[in-house]
Amino acid sequence: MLDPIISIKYMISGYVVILAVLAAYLVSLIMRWRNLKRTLRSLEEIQKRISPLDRGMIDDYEAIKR
Amino acid sequence: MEPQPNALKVLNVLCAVLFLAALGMVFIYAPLEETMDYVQKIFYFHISTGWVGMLGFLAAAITGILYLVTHDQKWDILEFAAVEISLIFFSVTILAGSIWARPVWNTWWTWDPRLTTAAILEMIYIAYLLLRQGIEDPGRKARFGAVYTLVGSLSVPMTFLSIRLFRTIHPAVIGTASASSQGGFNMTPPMVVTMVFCLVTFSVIFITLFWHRIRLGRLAQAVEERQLEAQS
Repeated sequence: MLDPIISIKYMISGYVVILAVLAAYLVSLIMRWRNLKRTLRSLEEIQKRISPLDRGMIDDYEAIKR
Repeated sequence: MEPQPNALKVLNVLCAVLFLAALGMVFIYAPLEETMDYVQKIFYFHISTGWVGMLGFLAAAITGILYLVTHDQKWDILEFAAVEISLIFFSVTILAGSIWARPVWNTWWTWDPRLTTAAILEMIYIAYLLLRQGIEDPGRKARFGAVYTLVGSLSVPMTFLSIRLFRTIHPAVIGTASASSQGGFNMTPPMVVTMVFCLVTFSVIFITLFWHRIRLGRLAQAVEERQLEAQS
């Protein structure tokens, strides 16, 4: 039979590792979601900032290029 | 991106409740094993994470086939999500198993058939993530992923059956173990109930994480499309 003190030490270590890995993955999912949301919002703002006048200028520039 | 569906919110709560209940069953309801004492309690989460890990790798292979048939990008998002989550769960299985092995086998690791096939399985899917990163074209990336997960999934039954096919020290829970197995034990009914409860709990956790990861994949795709729009 295993020494109960040694046995309990390994059991606690096992569960700490299990919970830590799962918690770290959960945090990484949340962080990635937040970062992507922030990027998406910034991209939408940039697109909104381009005024109709700017759009016209871009169209003219592309027409000249062609 | 649409807010979380109600079903997913329900799953989030269910996961938390089931996880706490599983911990309660492991530490309060399940009896102590006579020879290994407390360390045997790692078994319940070790086997449950291994189960969902293997299930996810098989799910990735199925979504890979569906991508090859339909060429629909959504199957690639599902496949990548399944591999990522399964890798996390399977890493937990290996780490927890190693900690359990130390007092029982007197070693952290041994090149036994089960441990070796499990390590190969883990490395196959780590390589999948690394190789995928190196491909830029989305179509090629998805095609590569589909073929790779399909071939890689062959190692799943190999890992599962290794303790039944080869002489090994790893004990078997279902079916007869090898004569040389060490650390095996006879499960009492409360132990079986706890094991089944943990398997169900981790299956629900897997489904919930899978859903979250698919949503993350779709959001990443939306951001990529916006970036391409902005550049053009």
